[in-house]
Amino acid sequence: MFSSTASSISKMSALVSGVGTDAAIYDDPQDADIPTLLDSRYDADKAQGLKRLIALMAQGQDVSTFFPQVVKGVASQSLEVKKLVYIYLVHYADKRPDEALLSINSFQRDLSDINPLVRAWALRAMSGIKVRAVGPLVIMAANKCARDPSPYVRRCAANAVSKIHSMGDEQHFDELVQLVSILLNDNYPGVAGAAAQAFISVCPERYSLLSSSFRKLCGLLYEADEWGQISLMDILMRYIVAKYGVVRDFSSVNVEFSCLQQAHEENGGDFYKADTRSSFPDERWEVRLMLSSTLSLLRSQNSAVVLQAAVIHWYFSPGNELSNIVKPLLFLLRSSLDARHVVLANILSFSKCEPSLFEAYFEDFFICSSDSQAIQALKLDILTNIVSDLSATQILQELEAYIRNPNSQLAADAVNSIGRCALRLSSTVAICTKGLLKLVVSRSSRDDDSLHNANDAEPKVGDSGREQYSPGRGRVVVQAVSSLRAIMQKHPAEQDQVILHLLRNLNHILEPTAREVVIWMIGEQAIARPALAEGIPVALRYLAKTFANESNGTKLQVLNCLAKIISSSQRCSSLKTVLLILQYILDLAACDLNYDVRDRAWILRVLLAGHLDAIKHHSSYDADPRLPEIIDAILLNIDQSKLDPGVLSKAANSMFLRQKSVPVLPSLSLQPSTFLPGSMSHMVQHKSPGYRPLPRERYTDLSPSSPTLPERQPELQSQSESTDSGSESFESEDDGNYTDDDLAVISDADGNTAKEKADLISLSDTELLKRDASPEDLSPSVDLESWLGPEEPSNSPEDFDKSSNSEVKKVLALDFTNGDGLEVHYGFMRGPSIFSSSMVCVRLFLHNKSSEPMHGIEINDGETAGRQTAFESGTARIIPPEAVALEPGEKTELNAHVDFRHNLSIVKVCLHCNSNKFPIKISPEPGVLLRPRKMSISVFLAAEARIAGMHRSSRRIYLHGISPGQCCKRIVAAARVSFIGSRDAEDVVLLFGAETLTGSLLCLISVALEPDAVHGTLTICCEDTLFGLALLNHLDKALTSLESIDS
Amino acid sequence: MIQCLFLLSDAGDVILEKQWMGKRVERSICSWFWRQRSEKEDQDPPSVIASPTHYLLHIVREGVTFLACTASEMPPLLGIEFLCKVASVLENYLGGLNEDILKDNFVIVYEILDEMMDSGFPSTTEPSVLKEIIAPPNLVSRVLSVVTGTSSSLNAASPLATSSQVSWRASNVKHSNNEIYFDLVEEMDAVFNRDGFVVKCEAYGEIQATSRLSGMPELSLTFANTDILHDVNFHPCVRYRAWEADQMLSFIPPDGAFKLMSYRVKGLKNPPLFVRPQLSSGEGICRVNVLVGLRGDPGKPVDAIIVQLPWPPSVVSTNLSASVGTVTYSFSTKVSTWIIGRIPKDKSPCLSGTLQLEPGINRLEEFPTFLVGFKIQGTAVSGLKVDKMDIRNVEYRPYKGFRAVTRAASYEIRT
Repeated sequence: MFSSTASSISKMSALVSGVGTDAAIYDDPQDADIPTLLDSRYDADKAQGLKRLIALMAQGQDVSTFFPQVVKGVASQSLEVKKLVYIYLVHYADKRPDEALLSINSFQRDLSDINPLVRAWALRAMSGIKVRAVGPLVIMAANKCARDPSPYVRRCAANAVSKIHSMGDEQHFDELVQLVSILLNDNYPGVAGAAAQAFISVCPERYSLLSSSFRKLCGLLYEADEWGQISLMDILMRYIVAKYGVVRDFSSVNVEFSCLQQAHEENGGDFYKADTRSSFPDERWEVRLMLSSTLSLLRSQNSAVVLQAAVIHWYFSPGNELSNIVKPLLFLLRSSLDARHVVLANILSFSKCEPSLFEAYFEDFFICSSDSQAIQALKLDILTNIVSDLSATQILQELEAYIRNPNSQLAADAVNSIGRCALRLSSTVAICTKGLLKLVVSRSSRDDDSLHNANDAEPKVGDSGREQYSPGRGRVVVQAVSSLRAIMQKHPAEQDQVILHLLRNLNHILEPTAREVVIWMIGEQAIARPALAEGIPVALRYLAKTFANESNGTKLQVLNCLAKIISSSQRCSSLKTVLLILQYILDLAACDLNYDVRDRAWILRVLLAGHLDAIKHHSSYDADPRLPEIIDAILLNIDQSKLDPGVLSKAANSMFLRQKSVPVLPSLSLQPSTFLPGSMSHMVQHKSPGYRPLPRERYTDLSPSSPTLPERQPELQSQSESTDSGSESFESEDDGNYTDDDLAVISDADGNTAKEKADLISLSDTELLKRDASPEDLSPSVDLESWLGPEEPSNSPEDFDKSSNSEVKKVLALDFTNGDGLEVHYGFMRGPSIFSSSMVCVRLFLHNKSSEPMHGIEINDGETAGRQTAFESGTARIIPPEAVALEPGEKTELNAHVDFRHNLSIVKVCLHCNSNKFPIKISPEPGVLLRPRKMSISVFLAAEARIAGMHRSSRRIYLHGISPGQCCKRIVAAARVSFIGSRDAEDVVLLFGAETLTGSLLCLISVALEPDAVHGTLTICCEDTLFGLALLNHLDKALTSLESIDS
Repeated sequence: MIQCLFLLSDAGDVILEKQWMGKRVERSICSWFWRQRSEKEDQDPPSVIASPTHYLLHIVREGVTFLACTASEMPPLLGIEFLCKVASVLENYLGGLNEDILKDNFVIVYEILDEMMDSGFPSTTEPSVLKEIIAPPNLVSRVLSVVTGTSSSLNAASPLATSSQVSWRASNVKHSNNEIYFDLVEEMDAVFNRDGFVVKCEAYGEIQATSRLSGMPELSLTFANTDILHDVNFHPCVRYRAWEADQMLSFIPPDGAFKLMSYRVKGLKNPPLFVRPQLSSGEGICRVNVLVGLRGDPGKPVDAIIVQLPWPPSVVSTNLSASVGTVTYSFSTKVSTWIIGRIPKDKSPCLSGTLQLEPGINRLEEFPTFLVGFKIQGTAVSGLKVDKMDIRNVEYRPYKGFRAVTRAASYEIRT
């Protein structure tokens, strides 16, 4: 009596101290004997045990060993135990599918329970067990639940459909489609939403299913739960696109917006003509209906719903109604703070196409201090997209404010944006230029002193100046100078003032990159208006003084600048000064520590010989008698007789005096892409697995009788804008001038390869469309074989010998320093041994590198002397080759035949030569212990399904983007397997068959290549698990090694 | 679709993981994620990032990071919204959100997560429906479980709510006291430029309702001045047609607390506070002088005024004093915090002092942005006024309550 009170008091005190029951379990799950608890007769104990398991699971421990005991718990009547068992099952079902099968019977019983929760959970658990054998049972269960009175159960049935489909069992495809169609017609909005998701995962192109229920689905849209709304909108949108096409797209990103808008209006007008002129619903009522039923969803609290609805309106709204999406999208930036990044990225894409939409709302894109760097970059990009004459003043003021921000990244980005605003709006050029110049000057000058004239400034670069340089300030100056340069190139009229300003402040601009840009601009100025270039000799004199202390990049630019001046300004008044400076700098550069600078100096010396020659011989330049002297000094070490001045000056002109294109100031965040807005691919800027572009073709015939769909055209998603940053493009222009044409060729070739790649990807895409083909159709794909080309591995051993012997991989067995001058390599031959089908032919490559002849070279087990016909070493049996003799320098090849007996351990043999013994080790590769086995794909699949569980090992591998053909070649080269064919599921799957030499165990290899060609999954099914694993490692290495064997 | 969810503590440890798909995601992804986070110091990485193996979505709530992984195409916002939903449901269930609370109730967390998502797609996420399947932990059930040794968080009765025509409300709700409360919570965003002019000033508001009404009540809420609302969005229970036609909120409320509506009022003219900073620097020292005062009369007292002054990196130390309130300086973050509270009638708050700059820097070239916080109880700064609230379809007359509060959200002063 007393003790029981005491125990309850202690329990109560535990409660009062605030420790919940579960915390104790979480902290110390193993303080009780879990198996005993699980086996207990009482549900409370079972629940305790399960909670402890889940605690261990939460902490990342593998508790799958309890699986059999947990599965028994399914039979319990307690809801809580059932739920906990279910949580456990879902977590581990993929690890132990066979044991999960034990629970099937209880689930089937639960399907008839009166409690809808129990029925739903049973179905969820059943569909979570991904074993093909139970496929038909699960489909039966789903069928039953799809007609259940409780909508909760019906929704579970819809979710189960996607799960069954993900098992990859094609046999039941038609039944699944049937189920989807039943569920889509459900009257309960929540069920229809889940059914839409099932539709997306099972049969996303079966638009015929939607044509009958379209009106109803639109009606259910507002009442469905938010997640269902997203899926429903997705399928409705694709249906409409397939039927009518779109009004607006992202493809015309670079078109001037006014003409784009006009095109849209025309297009839109045409699109809705019938609507406005007739009162009865015409054939496009579906578009109208969808637009009107998604309008209210723009007011949803769920940002994903709003964005999806906005995407629909983007694609289908006529021009004047498009503005409906603007306010809801902008409101998301405030109402769903976590969604800001994604929403901004999508607004960026919209604003790129239709800047006018967001023009009036620029205030929403002003940066506040809580914005992260990614959000700041997106906002700035949007601001530069939407700047207009009306908003320019305010936007520029705002950008100016950001320059004062302590965050140097933001300041630099703001400067970049100012440059882009000026490039976009020519009315702002003057004010932007002025502001940027002021910035360069104020940020560069270290003191408050009055501006020095470049002429009398002390060269401060390199010594005391560098020490004070702060990275933040430097960034801003570099960005400002780059922006100025871009503006100048687009609007050369402003140039004079800017150049003079920059020249004057050159001694204050310390950041090397900024100096490079300024010097480059001086050179360009010299080309553009040689007559105006009064200040140039002054600048050059300053640069000559500082040359030795400049950075390497700046030195190169100084040299280029000189070359430009010499090539262009032959009538320059101060030619003598320029020439003297040229001589001085070339001499300095010739002794520079950096070889690039030295090389550049030598190249220029030769290239400029043509121009200098012309100056020398031109009669009108005799003003100064010292000119020829200076020129001779410059060309001192050059044998002028071998040079053709005409050719050289032409070459120099084509390099230095050509028209430079206006650089593109890089955008700060995402590049414009044609990915569907709102998709993951749009955010991560690459095609993510499972991405489906909008249907391109108009499927006019959507009647249920014709489910076959036309194939899509390959879609090229190349980036339209160059991504070069300002300084990079700047460098490549000057340094790579003479290869500009070649570059064009290269980029052209790149374009072609990109196209080819796109084609490869799209091949698998089109195959995807044929997914509803019957299983017999899974014959080897023609395309794949064409990739393999003429070298397609054939399976007859003779062919293997012929084609592959030359490429036998040699392994060093004995080095000549250890072998008294005898060097031995060995390699495994592809063909079967002549002695026995279970033997491998090992070829020994002998090379006598000594000056003595060798005789009596033979192999034995090392125990006995003399020739043996056959011997055992470890587990292997070896038939050695005949004894041979080698003259000095002679090479020979011998064949030994080894039966490794399916063992991967190293075989030790002994090589006799000149009565010396050398131990040799031969380590077999797993790929060698196989023999190719040809079979049909259906046999392969059947066999693969049989070899499951432990016998199957798979690994996700990184493929470096090799093509399926190359992949095939690598596998065939690395292992003696036969290529069976390929199967197109979601990924391209290559199949290879083989059997082990000893025991003839089947060994099935499949490589699933993901659409991005970067990753793949290598799966090996072999009844010898250890061997399978070794083979997996071996093939993994062969596939992922960077040195490509096929090149 | 979402494959799994990890809950990470503020130290980056996994509190728990929940896998929804057959293909399990290894925990190592969390350490990859945490490295991304720590590389960028105090900057939170973007909410969507592509790791080498998965796409990662995350949100942070009360120091707990909700990290979801997916390997295939899906709308990223769906994932983020789902995470927000998970966070709010858990907070609602557990009465708070931190590492200890989560560990305390990990079984319930697992049960909730399991209900909320099925095969990678969100399933039952409506809190009122969830509560019918999984009972929230409360003291009574806890006492029961400790004393009797049994515990069950699952409701044995079959949930029929899901079959009612209104998916967010059960048909058989009963309360002894019928009451409904509306809270107008407004947040003010304002930016002042260095000349003291308003760059932008707007209010974001939410109407948070708490309903304890029996039966199936039909509510309608009208405002006196809906024309000031620039943007609105609604809880799914609100009938959009009625809003379009009569600017009236007509709805059947879910039981319990919910966010009825959020709105934004732009272009406000009367920010309640002014802050006048003066910074003059030279010879390695920056003199600071900041004045704070009321602008106009907001009607109710302005409380909990606080000014944060984050100094640029070139500032080495500060020497500041205030006429009202206290100033503290954190060396690690270089932020001075000036806590004023309520402005006294007789004194105007003034902060003055000097900043010591890094040696070699004469003048301050980067100018900080000051952040201001305040709270005004009892008034909605946007001026939105509730006109009347009607209830139909029920017999009783419920108690109706209205409250309003305004807070500063991002109230920034550029210098």
